[in-house]
Amino acid sequence: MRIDKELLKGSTVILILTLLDRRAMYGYEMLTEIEQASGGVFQFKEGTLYPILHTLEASGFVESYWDRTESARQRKYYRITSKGRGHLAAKRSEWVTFRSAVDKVIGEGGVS
Amino acid sequence: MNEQIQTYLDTVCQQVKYQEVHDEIRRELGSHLEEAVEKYTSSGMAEAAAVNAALTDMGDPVLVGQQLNKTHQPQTEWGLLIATLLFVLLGCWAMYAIEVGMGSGFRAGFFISKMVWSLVGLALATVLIFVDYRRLRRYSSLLYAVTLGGPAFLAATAPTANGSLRVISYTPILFAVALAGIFTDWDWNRPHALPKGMGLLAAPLLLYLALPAFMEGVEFAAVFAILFWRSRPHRQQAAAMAGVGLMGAGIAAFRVWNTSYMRYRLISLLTDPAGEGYMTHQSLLTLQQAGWWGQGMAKSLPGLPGRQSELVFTFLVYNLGWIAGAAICLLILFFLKRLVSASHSVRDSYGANLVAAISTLFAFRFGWNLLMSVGLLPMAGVDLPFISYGKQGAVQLALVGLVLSVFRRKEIIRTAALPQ
Repeated sequence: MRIDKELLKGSTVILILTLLDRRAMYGYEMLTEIEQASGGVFQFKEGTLYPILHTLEASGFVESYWDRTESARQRKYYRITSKGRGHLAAKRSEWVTFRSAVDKVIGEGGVS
Repeated sequence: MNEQIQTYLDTVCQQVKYQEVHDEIRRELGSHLEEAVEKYTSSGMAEAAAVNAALTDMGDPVLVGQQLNKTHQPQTEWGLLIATLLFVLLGCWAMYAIEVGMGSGFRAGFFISKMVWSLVGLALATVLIFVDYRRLRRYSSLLYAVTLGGPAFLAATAPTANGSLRVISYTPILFAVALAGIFTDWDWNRPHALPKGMGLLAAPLLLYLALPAFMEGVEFAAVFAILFWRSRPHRQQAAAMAGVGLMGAGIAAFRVWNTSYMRYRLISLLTDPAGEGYMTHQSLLTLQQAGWWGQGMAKSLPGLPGRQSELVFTFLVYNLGWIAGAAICLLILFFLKRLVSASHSVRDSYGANLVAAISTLFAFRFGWNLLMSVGLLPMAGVDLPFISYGKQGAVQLALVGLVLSVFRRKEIIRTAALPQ
């Protein structure tokens, strides 16, 4: 099922920060994780990930560093900062409030 | 790397106006694309098809580039810029007012000279804003050596105080820039770190004590202290360095006490005779007479010494009033506060050190000058940055240019080193 872009836009930050909260990752890895963790529902245009990551870094929520793999490939890793954890917590509670409100409205007298 | 991928990356980078970040973008996106291609080929796809698939997954390069462009905008600190320009205007106006009041037909040349040096300074600042400040870093040790060796040599070979003294007043600035680089990535766990550190502090202090140039010594010590503290030394090392500093302070105090005019200045600060306390006395008197809205431009105050240099603040307050004086103080506080708060988002440690050192220089000079104008500190020949008469204003403007250069790149530069 294709998810509306607008819905996805709002939640990408919370998805990324949640992943990075668990461990540091590089871009490609994050995309694979999101796809797997969401059961294939979230597959977004990969190019849009990097502007978001760079913006998060500019805001101080994540920080980046370069690392080499065993095969000498350079990867740019991102890890969450304490400021980022605070932001994630705020976004999480925002999401929970939003989700329950929508559920309530849909559940009571919603279509179907 | 594959030609198609290169073309894709080129298109992305074309949309990003900020050139210095292109390299990093190419590496990150390139690494991603290579990995994606690998994943496709390892599941049986042909290389050409794999590349196409990977690029399609990435999305429209123009769109990606445009979004990246939005996140990599160099930033201008407008607050600092405007405050600095206001200072320059105040300075020019003050010189103008002095000459009008003197009625000499501008023969003293304060106004022309101030204008010229301000323009020179602004030109320097403009150049520096667009230069990558990181290029300075590799000259740090050389700069330190020259700043120490030059005046020392001059002082040893040309015993008259005047020649080397004029150069000396610029040395705190040069030391500040040099030390900012030296203390970046300074490892206190290395062998001989402490002796080296103590040497870095002691050598210039000896120079300043020998000349003597006490105010420059204090300024140097302040900058050193800030950069030292930022380098996160161990407590024992900090204690040792503090010991060196205190020794220097002790020797300085001894020499000051033995220099009659300096001793008078200190004593008169407390007891206020009309002797060496003359300047402080005149400054306080003038400030008292200013009134809320000032006495106007016609009064050039020949009785006020240093009205174009050390006591220019007093002169301005007399002309423009106490309200204006308070406004100038607020502008100065705003300037200093912007310097400090903007420095918090500087990611690059060299840039942050530079800004910290330069902020200390400005805070010291603004602070001492204002406090000495109101009699809370002894007169010590400290001019008001940007506003006082003299060439220092041009150098100070250049420093603002350097700081703005750091701030322009603050969101963009990462501290984690790129592998070569």
